[in-house]
Amino acid sequence: MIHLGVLVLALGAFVALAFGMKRHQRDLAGRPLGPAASRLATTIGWLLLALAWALEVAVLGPALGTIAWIGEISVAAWLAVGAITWRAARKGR
Amino acid sequence: MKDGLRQSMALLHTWTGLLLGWLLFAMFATGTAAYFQDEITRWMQPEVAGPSDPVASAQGAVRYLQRVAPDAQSWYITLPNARGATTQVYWQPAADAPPATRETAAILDRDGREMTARATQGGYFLYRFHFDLHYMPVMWARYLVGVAAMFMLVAILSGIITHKKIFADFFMLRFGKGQRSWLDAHNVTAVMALPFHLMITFTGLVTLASMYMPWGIAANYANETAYSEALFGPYATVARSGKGAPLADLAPLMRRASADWGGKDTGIVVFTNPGDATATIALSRAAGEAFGSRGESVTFNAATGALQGEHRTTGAGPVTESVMIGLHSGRYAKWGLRWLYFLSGLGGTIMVGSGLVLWTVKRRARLPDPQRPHFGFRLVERLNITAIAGLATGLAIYFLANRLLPLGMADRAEREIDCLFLAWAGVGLWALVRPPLRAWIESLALAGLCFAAVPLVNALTTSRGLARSLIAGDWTFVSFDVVMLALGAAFLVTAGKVAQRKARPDAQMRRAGARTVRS
Repeated sequence: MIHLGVLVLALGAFVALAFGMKRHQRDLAGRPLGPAASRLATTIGWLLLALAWALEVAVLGPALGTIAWIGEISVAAWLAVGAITWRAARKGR
Repeated sequence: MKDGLRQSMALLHTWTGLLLGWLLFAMFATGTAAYFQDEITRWMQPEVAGPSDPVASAQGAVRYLQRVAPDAQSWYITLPNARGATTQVYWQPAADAPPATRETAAILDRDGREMTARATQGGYFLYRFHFDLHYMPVMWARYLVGVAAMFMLVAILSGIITHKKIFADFFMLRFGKGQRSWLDAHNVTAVMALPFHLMITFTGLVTLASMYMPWGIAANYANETAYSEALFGPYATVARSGKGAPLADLAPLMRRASADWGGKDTGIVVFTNPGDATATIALSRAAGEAFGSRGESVTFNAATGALQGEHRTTGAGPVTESVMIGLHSGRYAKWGLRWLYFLSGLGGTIMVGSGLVLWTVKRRARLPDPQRPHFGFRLVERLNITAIAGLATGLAIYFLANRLLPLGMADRAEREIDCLFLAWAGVGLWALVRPPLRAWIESLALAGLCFAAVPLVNALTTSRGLARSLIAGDWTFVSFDVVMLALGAAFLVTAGKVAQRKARPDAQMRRAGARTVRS
């Protein structure tokens, strides 16, 4: 269960990070975001990743928690790539 | 200066990656499968069913050994973990035993009966192939694998510098754009699991480090025995006294060991001089119960059950090594984490594969005459087909052979493995005689069809097909069949994509032409 929760958090984190990147803003938000909004999105992204790590460590302990976190953020990042690619393809049509 | 560094790193990355990329692909693919080696073995022995029980299995094994090898010098019992179901026993026959007693190993079920399941190496073969390869001396294989792992480490580190855009293009994956798409796939699979790739490559080297660099041990210990005694505790063989003594019951000893280890189960039981008054029982902690690959062990007097000695790995060096090896092999991982290991490994396999393809895609445009590439290019192209589609086909054939070879066949387990390599070699030959693009399409489609056939053949030849295991809630079998179907679909889709590209070679040629003019 903890795995699923962290996966969702990490997915949110990566989507937020993508919102903070100029390259992806057009596909995600439809328009370029200002520097303040970009910075906010990036901060939220990193905070969510840190929160996911803290949660995992609280439940599984520092060693196992960190290992599981690395695996989960990898999968979440792949899912984010999939989602962003899918959205960009729909926009492109 | 900075561009100079990047250029030299690009050169390093390209050639270290290519030179051992084919071997690395095979190591990554089989190593990834090996995270599920127990599950694969269970799938490959469909006759075996039911959950495991370490205590009952140990007692069953002792009954078997008392009957078959009562006067052996030692018994070595590997108990099933939560994911397996069979007990493996080995014994060292008495020094004066007649040479006719050649069988010294057996696979037992929970009740200590010799298994009647089909002969197969199962997932264990994939695990061993991952670092011992096959058809060659193990030592050569391990050196070769070590060089490949070293190259991998170099390729990862130089790759981070070479592919400077991996972090700026973090989420970039564009389909249908030729070279750009391959680069995206290479980057995305590499960067998303970068911590895993670094960890797995480095810890992989650590598993065999004392073999690659024996000088530390040679400089500090008189001989190998002194070293292993320092590490694992003293080891002395005691002669049989000739006085018989009954064996103490294992169950309370296993419970006591487990209590000592904070609830962790026993994985290995070793008896010396069984049945004699000098007999001892050594219990070692199961590999799946903690990070470290080198577990605690405890020795009892076999007749009285009195504690004789305890050992656990201590010292920064051995503990670090033990944890690193444990981290690499992931034996401690429960199913959630195990799937993460598997997915990361799959990402690594795709990273290596896409890197290999990228080498040819990048150079094709720059060929003086794309219709007639030079020898080196043709060689790489064909080796890529063999390494990627050939191995995939071979693996699928390995599973199909497990279901289709006659059960009573002589050396059946070895024949299954031969089938894998025959299929692999077959695809290699096919790649040699066909035009490369056609060979890609055909061999990828073949791999896809073979993987898709596995669940079908399983349903036809056993009573544990996908529908039935779904109803029975047999998740090991369900997962195996579903992964086979997914792999089949992935290879067929890839074959379809390549075929689509082939359908419009004009555009490709024109683009290639334009690029040559520009440069």
